[in-house]
Amino acid sequence: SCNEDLLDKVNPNDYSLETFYRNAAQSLEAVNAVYAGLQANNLYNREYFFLHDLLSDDCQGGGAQLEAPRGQVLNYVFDGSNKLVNDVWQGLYRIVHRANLVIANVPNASENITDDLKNRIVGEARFLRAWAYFDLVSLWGAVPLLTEIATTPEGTPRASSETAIYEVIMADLAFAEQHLPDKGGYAESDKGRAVKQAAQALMARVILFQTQDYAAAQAQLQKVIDFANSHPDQLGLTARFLDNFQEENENNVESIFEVQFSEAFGTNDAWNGDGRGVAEITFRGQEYGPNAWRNVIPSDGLVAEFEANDPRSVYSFYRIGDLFNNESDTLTTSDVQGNTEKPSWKKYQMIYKRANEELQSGINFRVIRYADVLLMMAECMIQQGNVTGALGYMNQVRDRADVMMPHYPTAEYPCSTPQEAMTALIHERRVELAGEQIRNRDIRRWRKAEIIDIRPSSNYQANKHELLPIPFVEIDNNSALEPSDQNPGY
Amino acid sequence: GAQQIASARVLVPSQGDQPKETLMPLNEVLQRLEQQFNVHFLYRLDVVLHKKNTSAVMNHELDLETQLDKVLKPHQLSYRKLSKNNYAIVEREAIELKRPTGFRETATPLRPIPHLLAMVTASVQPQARQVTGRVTDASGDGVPGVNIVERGTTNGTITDVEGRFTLTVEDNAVLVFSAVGYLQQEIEIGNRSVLDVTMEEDVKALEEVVVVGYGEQSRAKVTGAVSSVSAKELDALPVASPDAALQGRAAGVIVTNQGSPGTSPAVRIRGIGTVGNTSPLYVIDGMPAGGLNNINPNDIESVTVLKDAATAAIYGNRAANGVIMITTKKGSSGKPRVNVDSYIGTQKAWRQLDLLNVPQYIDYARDLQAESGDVPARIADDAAFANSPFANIQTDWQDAMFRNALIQDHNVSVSGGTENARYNVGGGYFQQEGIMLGTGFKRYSFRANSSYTLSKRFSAGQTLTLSYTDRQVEPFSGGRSQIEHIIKSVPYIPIYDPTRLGGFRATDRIDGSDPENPVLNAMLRKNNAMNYKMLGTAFVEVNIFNGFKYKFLLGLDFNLFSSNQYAPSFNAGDFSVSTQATLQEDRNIFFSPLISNQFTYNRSFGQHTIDALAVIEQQTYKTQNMQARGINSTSNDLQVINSATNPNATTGLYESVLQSYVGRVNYDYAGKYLFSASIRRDATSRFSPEYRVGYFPAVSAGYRISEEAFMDGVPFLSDLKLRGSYGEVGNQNIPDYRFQATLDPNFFVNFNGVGQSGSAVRALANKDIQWETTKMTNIGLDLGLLDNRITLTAEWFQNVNDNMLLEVPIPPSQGYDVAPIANVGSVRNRGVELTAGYNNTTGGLTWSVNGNISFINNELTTLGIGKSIFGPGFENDAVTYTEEGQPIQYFYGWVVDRLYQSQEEINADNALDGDASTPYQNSVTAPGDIRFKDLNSDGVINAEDRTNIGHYLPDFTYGLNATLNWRGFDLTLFLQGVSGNEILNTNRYDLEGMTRLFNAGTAVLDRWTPTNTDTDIPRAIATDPNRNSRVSTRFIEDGSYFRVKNLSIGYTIPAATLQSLGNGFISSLRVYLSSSNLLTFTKYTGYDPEVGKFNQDSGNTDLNYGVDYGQFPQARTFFGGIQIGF
Repeated sequence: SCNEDLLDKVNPNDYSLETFYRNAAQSLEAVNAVYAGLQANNLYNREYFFLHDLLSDDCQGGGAQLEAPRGQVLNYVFDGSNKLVNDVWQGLYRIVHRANLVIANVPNASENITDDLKNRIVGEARFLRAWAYFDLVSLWGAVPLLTEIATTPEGTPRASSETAIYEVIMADLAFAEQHLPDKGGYAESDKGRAVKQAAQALMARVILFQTQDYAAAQAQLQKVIDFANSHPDQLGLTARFLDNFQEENENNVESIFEVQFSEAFGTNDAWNGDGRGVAEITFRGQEYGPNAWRNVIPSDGLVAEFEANDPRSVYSFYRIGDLFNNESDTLTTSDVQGNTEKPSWKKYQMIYKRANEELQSGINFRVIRYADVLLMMAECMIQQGNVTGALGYMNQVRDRADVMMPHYPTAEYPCSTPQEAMTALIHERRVELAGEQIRNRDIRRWRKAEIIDIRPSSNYQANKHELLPIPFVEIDNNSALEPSDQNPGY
Repeated sequence: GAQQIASARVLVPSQGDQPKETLMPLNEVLQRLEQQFNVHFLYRLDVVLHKKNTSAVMNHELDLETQLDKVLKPHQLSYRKLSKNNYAIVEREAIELKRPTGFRETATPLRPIPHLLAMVTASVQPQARQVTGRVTDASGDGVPGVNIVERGTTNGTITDVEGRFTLTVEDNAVLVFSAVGYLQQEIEIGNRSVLDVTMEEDVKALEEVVVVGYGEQSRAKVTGAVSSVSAKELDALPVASPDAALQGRAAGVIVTNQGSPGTSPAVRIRGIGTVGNTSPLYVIDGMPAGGLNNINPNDIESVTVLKDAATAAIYGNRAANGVIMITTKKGSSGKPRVNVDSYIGTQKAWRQLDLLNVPQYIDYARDLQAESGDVPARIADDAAFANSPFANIQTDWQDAMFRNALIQDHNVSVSGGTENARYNVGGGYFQQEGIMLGTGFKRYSFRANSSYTLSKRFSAGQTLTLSYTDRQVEPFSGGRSQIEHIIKSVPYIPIYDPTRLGGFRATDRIDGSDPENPVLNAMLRKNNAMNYKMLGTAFVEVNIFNGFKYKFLLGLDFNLFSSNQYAPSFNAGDFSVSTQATLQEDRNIFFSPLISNQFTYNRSFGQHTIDALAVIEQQTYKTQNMQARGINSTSNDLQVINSATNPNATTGLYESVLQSYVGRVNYDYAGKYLFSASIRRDATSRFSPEYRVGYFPAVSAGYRISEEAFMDGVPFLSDLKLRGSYGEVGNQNIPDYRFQATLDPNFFVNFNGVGQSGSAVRALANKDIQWETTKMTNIGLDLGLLDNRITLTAEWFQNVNDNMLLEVPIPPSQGYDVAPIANVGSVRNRGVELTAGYNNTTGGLTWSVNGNISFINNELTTLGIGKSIFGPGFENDAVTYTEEGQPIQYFYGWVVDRLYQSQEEINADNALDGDASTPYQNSVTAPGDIRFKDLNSDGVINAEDRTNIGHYLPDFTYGLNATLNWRGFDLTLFLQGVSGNEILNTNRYDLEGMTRLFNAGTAVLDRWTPTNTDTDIPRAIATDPNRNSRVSTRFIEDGSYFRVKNLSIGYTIPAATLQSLGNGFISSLRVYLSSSNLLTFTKYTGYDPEVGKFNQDSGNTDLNYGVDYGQFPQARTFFGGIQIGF
């Protein structure tokens, strides 16, 4: 009475791995899932910006309710159980895994897909994988290196060296540079996908961090700058500083790579750790907002870093008495929790146009923008002794229409020697790129290059805090790791 | 007992082939029918003696009851079916084919009781006076057919259909009342002329029939490990579901509350064999089905727990965690009988925690924030607070959230029927408010069971449950339990503020703390989970020839789940704002039909009895789900998705199939040597074709030593049986399709504001997953003494799970979102279970004490993959650890040593590793912080210093039930407890963790300060830089408890009183007062020591049993009820 064929049940809810990745639409879906990972709760939706900002010296606690794991990162008293450390680690490896799926399968797609499109899609995946591995290697060192998807629950050992990971990153970025379109090369509905200039700029960042090979980095940056010079409608600086941190001017001329957010799709899956479902918003506004949770505020040091009359201080921070909500409301002490004498973040806040942050924000994160490229270029030149050339790029940043700061050299930053110029550059990067998850890695690479001796926290310990702890959950569950694989000092 | 049977058999003439048309003594005809149908008749000898039938009435083609009719009718006799295999032969005028209520199932040969023999020669004695009266059972129903004899004489009579009798006796006579299934009573008549007697059921003398897989079996012949719980025990407690009623009732079964009303308790049979799904299989009226909350406990006749392979392996691939067989109440022939059973009561939390009041909170907050300087503006100084609108508010959040909650249960049933059609229909309404606001459960249920004798060969029957349940799901907002919100809520914040949208108040920025208002959550965040359940079976049985039967059974388990979640927009404070109403609706249709073909052969050949079974069956499962969501920023008035501005929906379809072949043979010789063997072959769609088939054999044997002739010399020994079993059972309890590698198409991204979908592999697929197999060994001993007044059962068992099915935790570096399922490891559970009882069933005062105790030892003997398994995290520390050579999921953490009293001590520790610049714990450790123990002596506290700090499995669990009956009064005391387990009490993280500004427990008043050093509460410092609140022995507590689970007293109004009051309209009436969880003795400091597992966490939720994340506590309940029979 039993028909055994009934036992053959195929999952009707999911695509089969054996039959997917056949055509262009499926290949695009595959790479879209990698981008979705960037929006996940453990990356740009919530934890990524916390981790970088709290590890830097740009931030301090805004009030009594900073959660313990975040406070522990701020104070450099974290270990491998820290939630931020764990979440970002997991988020980055999800990017790696999904990119690996694309890289392994899309080249075999054969229906209704051109080689150019296949290469572009693989190029996007390799760009994103490189981005993730750069975070991993720069924060944790020689992490497990997976370039193919894992097929058993067995773990992967740590890479033999950081170099092994950097080799993968550089190869990925080289491929991406070769196959991604120039900025402006996508249709409107694909704006936000990785472009050639993003690969070049990221490669420069990686070189500066890994080897400080300034000539090599400069070569990459030069390509970006050349493109900007030849395509001023596609790449350059925006006239208005805040266009880089507000919702109306996303994917603008200054943008090189952005993580896309939008409130238009609702907030249903915003708490999803893996970017599944409609997870298109970020909590950044609510977390940092002056009249929101205000968990993190600019550090005293950062606020003091701004030159007198630098309008970027006004653009970057809200203070009591400032107008918000389309200039119809005034920020008062009763709006703000914690120490109201200290400013709050204004970059990436939604209240410029509404009364409250309302938990969710649709503002894109500018991961790489042109001002950063110009300042990296300047740094390369300074380090190679070309102060004059460097000042040109630095002053280009200060010449933004609504900034118009006096050119270097100034009385405060004389720039007569490469050392003085470097001091000015460090200052310029800090004020221009404050709160953009740049400063943390700048401090680390400058410490590495023995350019500065800034400790981002009084609890910062040399020979320990150069790297984050490998999450306990990784060591615990990775059969190829032993407790001795933990980074030194943890 | 054996002697009675022997004496009865003497009276049976020897049998032999009779020529046609000869006369045969009636008792011989009955004897033959007994053999043919494997049934037993009870009759008074005077009723059958000297009566003869022609042998023509013997027709092997007819079914039993038809033949009985033909045989008995000429003699003005009839029969009464006592149980499945037992019939009483009675005089037609005495009995209207009515089965006494409360009659116990019985299967042993029931024979005339010795004193009845006297009646054979009854003669008339001098008569002095007439006595009339009524004999009733415990529920007040008249008991027909009771033999009443004047002691020392042969003068006697028998009760009529309503239990009435009239007898003329001498003064001061002693009347002996006896009836099958009841305890014999002797009552001195004195000078009374009216005598009402309540008969007590003779539970132990009648050996029970127990429900086993695909049938029933005489308990005497059971060779496996089985525990039964009666309807009476199930009904004793005011609980929503039958599984909750099992707590403490059966040895080896651990039941643990794990949530608000309507939440299924955790049920574990004989420990944890697997770290995956550990729930037993539920079989309801022969149909494997779930959803116990949808079953009205009042509808249940009996619950049987199958604990070893001999009994459970018949359910093959689903039986690894044991099987719980549930049988619902069936009808019996007779006049319609109406029963009303109703109770109402009140529940209350039995414990409150000590939380800070306003002045204490403010003082504590200032201290906690002293280091950072961020003292919240509202309480920064006394003047500021005095001027605030909250200066005079003192909110007791526990008081606001806990309430005296109503519980009520009302049932009505009608049963009755004819010889050919019997029915039992009923309805019930159960309502339980949660003791915490925003929780509750209600159920409407309807039951209709019927059975039919269609012809001489065919019989049929059906069961049907219809029910609707509505559960108010406890809000779980912001990733926190309501209890967590209660603890954390700031005491100077008022609950309500009618001026604000929504009407509630929560903290503002200037309070520096953002707990959610739990009352707001309870009142505004609506989450109703509703189930519409239909569970039914229908069968037809054909008696093909002597003892060979075919049964075709169709079962259907249908469930429609519907959940509506709604939260309006509100504005209760700066941190408690929702600008839009959020809506979510879930629908889930579950459809699972069973088609079962069952062949049985049951025959005795002399001393040999064979009972064989063959089954071919298929059960399919289909689930269709839909989830729709949306927001409404316009209005709070509409609560359906229809009003949403951006409705979106997802759906899913899940199907699985199980095809099975079953064979079983039971053989016994003279009821003395018992053997059984079974095998089941299952094929499931949940595994790849290569692995989908599994075989599950079992063998068992029993030896009833008490039946041996040489034991006749041991008169006090009424029963002694030794038994043993071995077999293999399986587990396939994993989600559908998990062996298939697939991409989830539900990713989404936008580019420049344009939405695009995405697909990725979320789960690491494992095409090699297959059955988990448990090898079960059981040795048991049953002992009965003094006519079974004393009973004792002892069991030793060992269960070894191999190829444990498990979601293997994988390193995050693999990038998967979902862990793969794999067959890993081996677990061994060993234990001993003892059940003992004493039943004093004679005299005016009857009483009984029955207890059980189980000891269990659990060990993960091997783990085939990886090194170990970490359980889910609490504040990012794994709470449990599972490794070889240890019990599954022991609590894992650091060991507290003491508090640092000085910087010198810290400096000394920092130098332990030879380098004073590297800290022992961390660079900001200060006096007042906890010093953790350096278990690996490397001079540094890190992840390697964690160890086994406790385990949730008790060393032993026990239950003790005592009853006492006296002159219509009944008293029940039920005690229950567990001993030797630990609980990880994470509420103490909130009560005394001091990690961040929230309200806290009064324990923080004793926090370390330079002037208060003699304490074990560390200093207060926000963000807890030393991680004093990591998972450690600090939060581990002894979870042992001993509980007065039930204390009740009842009174059954005498039948005569009822007769005079209601003119016989009411036939029985019992009223009672009862309590549950009256007293709890425990060292545990949380709300309740019954802690199941946490269901809200994502990830592997099976490895956090015994972690109290703020679990909804058990209530103390007082209730009163009435049971009426019409």
